[in-house]
Amino acid sequence: MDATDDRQSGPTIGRRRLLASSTLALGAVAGLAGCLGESGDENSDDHSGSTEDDTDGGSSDGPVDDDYPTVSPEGTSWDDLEPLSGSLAIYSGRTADQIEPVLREIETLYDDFTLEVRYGDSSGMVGQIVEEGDNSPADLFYTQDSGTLGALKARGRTAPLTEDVLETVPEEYRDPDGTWTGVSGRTRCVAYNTDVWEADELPDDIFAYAEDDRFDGEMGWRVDSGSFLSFIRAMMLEYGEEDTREWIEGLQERGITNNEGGSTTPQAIADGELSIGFVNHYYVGRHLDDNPNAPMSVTFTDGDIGSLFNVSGVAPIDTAEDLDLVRNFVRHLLTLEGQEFFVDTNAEYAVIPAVEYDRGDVPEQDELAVPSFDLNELADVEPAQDLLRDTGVL
Amino acid sequence: MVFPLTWIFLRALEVDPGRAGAILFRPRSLEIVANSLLLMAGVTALSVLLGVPLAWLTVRTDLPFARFWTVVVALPLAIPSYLGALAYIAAFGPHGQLQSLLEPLGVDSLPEIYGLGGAILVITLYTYPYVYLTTRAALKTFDTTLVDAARTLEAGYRETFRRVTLPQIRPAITAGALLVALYAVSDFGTPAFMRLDVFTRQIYVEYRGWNLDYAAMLSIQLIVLTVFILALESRVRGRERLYTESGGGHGGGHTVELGAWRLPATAFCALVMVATLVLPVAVFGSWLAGGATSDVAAYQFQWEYALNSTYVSAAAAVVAGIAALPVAYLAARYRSRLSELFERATYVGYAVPGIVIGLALVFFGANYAGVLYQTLPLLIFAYVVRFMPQSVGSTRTAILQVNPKLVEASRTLGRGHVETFRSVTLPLIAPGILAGAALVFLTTMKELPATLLLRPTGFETLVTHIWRAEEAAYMSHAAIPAIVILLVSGLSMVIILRQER
Repeated sequence: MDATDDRQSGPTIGRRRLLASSTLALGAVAGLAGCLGESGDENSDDHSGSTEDDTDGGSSDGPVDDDYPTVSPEGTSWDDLEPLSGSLAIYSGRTADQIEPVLREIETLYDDFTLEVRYGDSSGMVGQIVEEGDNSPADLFYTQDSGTLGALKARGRTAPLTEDVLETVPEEYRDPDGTWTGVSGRTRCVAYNTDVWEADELPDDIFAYAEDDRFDGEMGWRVDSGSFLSFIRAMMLEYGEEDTREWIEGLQERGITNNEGGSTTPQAIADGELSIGFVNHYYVGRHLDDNPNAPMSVTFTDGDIGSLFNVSGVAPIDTAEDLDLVRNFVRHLLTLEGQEFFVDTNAEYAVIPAVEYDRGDVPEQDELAVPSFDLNELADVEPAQDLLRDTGVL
Repeated sequence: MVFPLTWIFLRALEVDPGRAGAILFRPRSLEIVANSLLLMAGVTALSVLLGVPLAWLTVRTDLPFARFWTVVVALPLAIPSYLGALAYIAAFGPHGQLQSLLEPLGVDSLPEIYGLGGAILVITLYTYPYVYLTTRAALKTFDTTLVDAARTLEAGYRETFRRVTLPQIRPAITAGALLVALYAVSDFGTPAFMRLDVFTRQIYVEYRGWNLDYAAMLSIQLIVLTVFILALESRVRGRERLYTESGGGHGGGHTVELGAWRLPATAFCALVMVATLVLPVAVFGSWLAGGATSDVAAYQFQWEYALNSTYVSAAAAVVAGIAALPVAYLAARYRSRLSELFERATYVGYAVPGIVIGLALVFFGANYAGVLYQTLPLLIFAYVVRFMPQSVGSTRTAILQVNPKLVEASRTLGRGHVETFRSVTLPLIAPGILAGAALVFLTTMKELPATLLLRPTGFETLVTHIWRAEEAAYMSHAAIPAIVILLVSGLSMVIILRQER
C-alpha cells in the first residue's frame, strides 16, 4: 500500500486519550448501558447466578475482580501473567491468517494448555452460539467487529470480564458493561485502482462520493458483511437516517455495485472492473500479498465515518466451563507481546496505550480522528437493515 | 427431516406479523420470486438439453473414449457452483482474463456475465450432471430388446428414441430434473456472485443480521415453492411406465453407430469439458501462479483436508444409499399417499438452504444429541438429511424398471423375500443405487454451510479450506484444494463406475 502523504500531514489531533474523552457521548452510553444491562441481568439468572459475578455488587453482570496477576495500560508481559492450563474452545469469526499465529504462540508457552479454534462466519457464529443454548461448547467468541460482539451480548450470551482488563482498554474500545473488549483495531478505507486515480484526485469527504459523476459506474462495496452493516449503522447514528439515505441513494444513482464475499471487491478493483471500493483496509493488503503487481492502493477520508475505526474483539461466553481461564486468556491478548503482534503482523491498531502504531502505510489512530461512539450501538443493525431494504441494497 | 422442519416452524412463529408482512409484500419480493422461478426454469430446461444427449452418447453409442467422457461429463457436479461463478466472472467479467486476451484483437466488451443469464449458465454447467447421471443409470438398465424390435420394424432412430427409449427413461430424466430445479432455487453462492436477487440471498441477508426468525419465515416460503415443484413433478410422472417385460439389464447389448456423427459428438463432449472443467482449472491455475509470493501459514494446503473430505463424503454416500433403499422401494412398489409422502418429505431437506438445515441441527444437536454434537456421525447425518433425495430418486427409478414378474418367479421357486431381493432385485437395481450414491458423494464433497456449522472443531475439508481462503481474500490459496476436489472426485467416479456391470 502506498503511503498516503496528504493524510500523514493532515490535521493533527491530540493523543488517543483526548480523542476518547472529547468524542464520547457519555449520556448515550449510559442510557444504552442501562437498557442492555437489563437483558444481561435476565440472562445471568438463567445461566450464571452462582458464579463469582456477584463480587462487583450492583449489576450482577458487571466486571469482576479475581486473584490473578493483572494487565495494565502501561503494558504487561506474558511472563507476568498466571500460566494457562486446560483447554479453551474459541469460536472465531476472524480469519485464521490474522489470529492463528498469535494463538499458537500463546498455546506453545504452556505445556498443558490447548486451544481449539473453530472458524466460521462472524454473524453465523452468533447464531450458532444462540442455537446451542446452555450446551454450547464455546468458551470464547472472537470476531471481526464490535457489532457482532454487541449482538451476542444483546442475546444475553456474554459473561463479564475483569476490572483490570477494563481499566487497560480505553473506554471506547470495549463494552461499557464489561462483557466484551476489543483486542485490535482496524479502519474502513477507500480502495482505488492506481491506473485510474491518483490519491489526491479522490475526495476526503465520504459524502462527496455520492455527488460526483466522475464516479459513475466506478464504485463497489461488499454488502454481505457485518462490517458493512455496522458501517451503515454508524453513519445513521452520526448523521441521521435522512443523510444516510441520501448518501446511499446518491451512490445508487452513480451505479454502485453490490458485491458478496471477501475477495470480490478487491478483485474487481484490481481487474479494473471497478476503480473505487469501500472496504476494510486489510483486504487490500491481502490482495496485494497475493497479487503484488495489482494496480491498487488505499486512501482515507478525513475525519468522517468513511474512516470508521472499529475493533476486533472477544467476549467470554456465559456458559463457558472455566471463566477464570477464559479471562486469563483475554489478558494474554492484551499484553505488550500480544498487542505488538497485531501491529506487526496484521497492520492492525493496538488497543492498549502502551503500544504505538508506527506503520507508514496506514495513518495512526489519532490521525483518523473519526467520530467515536459506543460501539455497542452498532450491534442493533436492524435500523440499518431496514434502511438498506428500503433503498433496495439488500 | 422432522427436526429441521420443526425448527423452521418454531423460529418462524417468533416473527412479528407486521414486520413479516412488510418483508413479504414489498415490491422487491415479487421481483425476487420472479427471479427465483426464472432461474429455476432456465436451469432445468438447459440441464435436460445438456444431460440427456450426453447420457445417451456415453451409454448407447460407439462414442470414442466413452469411458473417459463418462467420468468427465459427470465431474462438474463436484465443483461448488460458487467457485464456478468466481471462475466465470474472472474469465468473462468486464476487464476479465478473456477480455484482456482478446483486447489486442479489438474486442472491447463481452456479453454481460452478471445477472440472470450468467446465473443460469453457471448453475446449469454445474448441475446438469444430475440429469446426466440419473438418465445414464436408466439407459444402462433399460431393455434394449424393445429398441431392437422397433428397429426391426424399420422405425428410424429418432422415432425409436421418441416412442421407445424416451418413455422408459422419462422417470429418470424427471428425477434428475427435479434435483436440478431444487438445487437452482436453493443455491446461494452463484446467484450472489452473479448479483441476482433470489430467495436464498434474502434468507442469508436475514441470517447475517441475526434475524433467524425471518430467515425461517422465508424458508417456509421456499418450502411452499418446493412443494409446488414436487406437485408439478408428480403430474409429469403421471402415468409413468413401471417396468419392462424382460426385466432390463441388456444395456451392453446394443450400440448405436454414430458414423459421420462421431466427430461432432466428440466435439460436443469436449466443448462441455472445456466449459465446465478446463476453464475453471485454468483460472484457478492462474490464481496459483499469480500468488507465488504470498505464503500464509494458516492457509497452507494439507492432504489431510482431502482425506477428510473423501472420508465423510464416502460415509454419507453409503449411509444415504442404504437409507434410500426402503424409501425408494416403498415409493416405487407400493404407491400410496403415505409412501409418496415419505419420499416427497426427503426432498425438503434438499431444497432448503444448507445454512437453515445446519442451524436446525445445531439446535437439536447441541440440546438433545449430547456427546454427538460436533462429531462426525452428526455431520454425516446432516449430509444424509440434505442429500438423501438424490439417492432416493435414482434408486426409485431403477426399481421401477424391474419387472415384478421376475420377483414373483423367484418367490415361486421357493426363495425367501430377502434371498429374492439379494439375488434378483439388487443386481438389477445396483446401477441406480450406485448412481445415487455417486450423486451424494459428489455433492457432499462440495457442501459448505452445514459442514461449517456441524464439523468437529479443527476438522477441515477441501471446501472449508477454499471458503476460508476466499473469505480472507487469499484466492491463490483456494486454487490447490479446488483442483484437488476435482482429482479426488474424478478418481472416485472412476472407481464407482468400475463397479458397474
